[in-house]
Amino acid sequence: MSAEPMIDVRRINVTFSVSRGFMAGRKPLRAVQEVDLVAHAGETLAIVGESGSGKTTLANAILNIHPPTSGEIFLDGRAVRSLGRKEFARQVQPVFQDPYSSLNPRRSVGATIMQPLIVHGIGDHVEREQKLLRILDLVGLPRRVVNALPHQLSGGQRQRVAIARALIIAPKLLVCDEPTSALDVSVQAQILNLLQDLRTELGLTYILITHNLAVVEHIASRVAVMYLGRIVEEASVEDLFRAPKHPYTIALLESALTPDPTLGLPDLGLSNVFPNPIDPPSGCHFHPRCNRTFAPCSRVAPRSIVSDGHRLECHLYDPDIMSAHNAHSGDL
Amino acid sequence: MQPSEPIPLRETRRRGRLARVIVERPGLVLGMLILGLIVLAAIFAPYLTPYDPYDQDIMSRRLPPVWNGWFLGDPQATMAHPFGTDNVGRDYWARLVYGARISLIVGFVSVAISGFIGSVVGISAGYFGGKVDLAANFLIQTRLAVPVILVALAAVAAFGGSLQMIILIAGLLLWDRAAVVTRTVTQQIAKRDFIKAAKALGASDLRIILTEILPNLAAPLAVILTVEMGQVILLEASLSFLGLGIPPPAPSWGLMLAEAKEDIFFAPWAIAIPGAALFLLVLSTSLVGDGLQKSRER
Ligand SMILES: Nc1ncnc2c1ncn2[C@@H]1O[C@H](COP(=O)(O)OP(=O)(O)O)[C@@H](O)[C@H]1O
Ligand SMILES: [Mg+2]
Repeated sequence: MSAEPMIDVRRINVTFSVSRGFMAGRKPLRAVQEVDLVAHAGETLAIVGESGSGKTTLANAILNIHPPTSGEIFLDGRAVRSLGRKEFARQVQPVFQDPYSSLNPRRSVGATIMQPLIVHGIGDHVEREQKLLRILDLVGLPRRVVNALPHQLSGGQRQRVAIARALIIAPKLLVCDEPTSALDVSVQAQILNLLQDLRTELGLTYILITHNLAVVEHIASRVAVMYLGRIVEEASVEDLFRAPKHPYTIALLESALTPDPTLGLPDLGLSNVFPNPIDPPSGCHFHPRCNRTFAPCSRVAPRSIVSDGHRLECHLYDPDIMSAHNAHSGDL
Repeated sequence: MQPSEPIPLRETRRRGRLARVIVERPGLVLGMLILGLIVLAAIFAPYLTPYDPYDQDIMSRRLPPVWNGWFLGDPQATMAHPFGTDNVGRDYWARLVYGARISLIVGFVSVAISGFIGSVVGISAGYFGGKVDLAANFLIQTRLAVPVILVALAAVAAFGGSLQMIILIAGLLLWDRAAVVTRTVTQQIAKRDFIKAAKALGASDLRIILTEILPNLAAPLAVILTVEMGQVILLEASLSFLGLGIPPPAPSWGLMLAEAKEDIFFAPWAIAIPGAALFLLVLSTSLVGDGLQKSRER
């Protein structure tokens, strides 16, 4: 692992102010809480978690689309806040979940893919067309689609267009927010393979958001598990799949073995109510659904424990909490 | 590298499109036809009549249109003045085609102004949201509380009626619908991921509005602006009819109606002809607006 991470997310929070209905005033919704995350050059960092856990919000913060409310993000050691928006954009680009939504319906495929070059003033007309043709080949799109409008393409082709648009200015980090979950099962594998190939071919770094754990095991090098705005466990793929620690991660992995893991919310076999992020549970956010909950969980928020690059927030693995608890139960 | 070949997909879809539109949207086609004819008549007015719309001919006043000769045997009717003449002997056909210019100029220019104001207000409200949206809503509400006719009355009383005045009044007052519609559509567009993609590219808000949002607003804007144009043309005619609009002797259709109203029992055609012209013009704008709306909904 190289010394300096490419992207370094330090204790960021993203808080929305949401209205709770007519005349009810506004309340803060902490969509991302105290998130620490690093991605090193060349690795694929996966972020997994149920829908509503704050993955997209975190991605938007990393992409500088909706900067964090507090905390700091560094790109190659430089604070993103201090970089120009375009300077940052040149290095970090997104691929979104729904290619029906991420392509302007009024703009042709060619114009869509060349748009980044125009925004960044790269090359003249001839050079742009050359880059366009090269990138079309790279993402496996036939050249005849350049004049097509998005609605004339299939979902898989659209996602290829979105990938081409992201790659044409040669970024080094790609943030993919569930890049296949809006696609037919039959094309999901194609797009994932394409992303894999592009990574090795272009030496890219990925932050890959997904709730498909099979995908994670297949292409990620590190995994961060998110629950209600927090990273509750983070480890290398081997570690996490071999020895998951957090009860939530364990439940997630077990649910991934159920017949249809691709379907939205995994059936955790726990209490299936996903808590309202406006009123998160006290203490550990996960405790109402946890099957190993004990006294401190509802009272104290777990702190972050790191050992051997395996990080988690769970009282069960906090030696101080456990010894105090055992001593206390011993008294009884 | 080879130049890219054009995609065949789209051409095949284009073919037979006109025929399909005629079958599926007869109203739209009829509206465009009428509107097109009126626009052509206005542009080529000097070639459509040998008369000047201002030239009075005391010897031939209140001549009936030529069809009164055909069907009612009116001996005064003559091919020389196919639509007859008014009470000071001006050729009615000449006044009608030159009058179309006034209606269309008022319609197009004020709609351009109100469309611009409405889009600026609506797009900023929809795109920026928050305080900008609140301010825009306040502006729209304030505008809706202003009675157009009363303001027009006051403005004409203060500055006198003229073509420019009418255009200004209509342009500065009738932007509310454009604002409401562009605001709603912009809100919907702004939620979509291609806006996020543009932001992630570092594109400025102005660029995003001009290149991502505006092209998607063209169709809904075209719908309301055509309908609005009919309303503005009616407003001009009404104000001119009331003596608060275009001053005589201009050949405004509203003025023609006003000047003909004393003679309604002796020369009913003098009311019927500009009335029918106005009806056709406004009808064509609603047909076009309606047709565009339906094509969009498909
Ligand atoms: N713009 C916003 N305004 C208010 N709340 C938001 C906004 N975006 C997301 N949220 C809330 O933040 C939480 C996390 O959402 P999101 O990041 O989309 O989760 P995920 O991508 O994991 O499904 C949700 O409760 C969601 O309702
Ligand atoms: Mg999401």
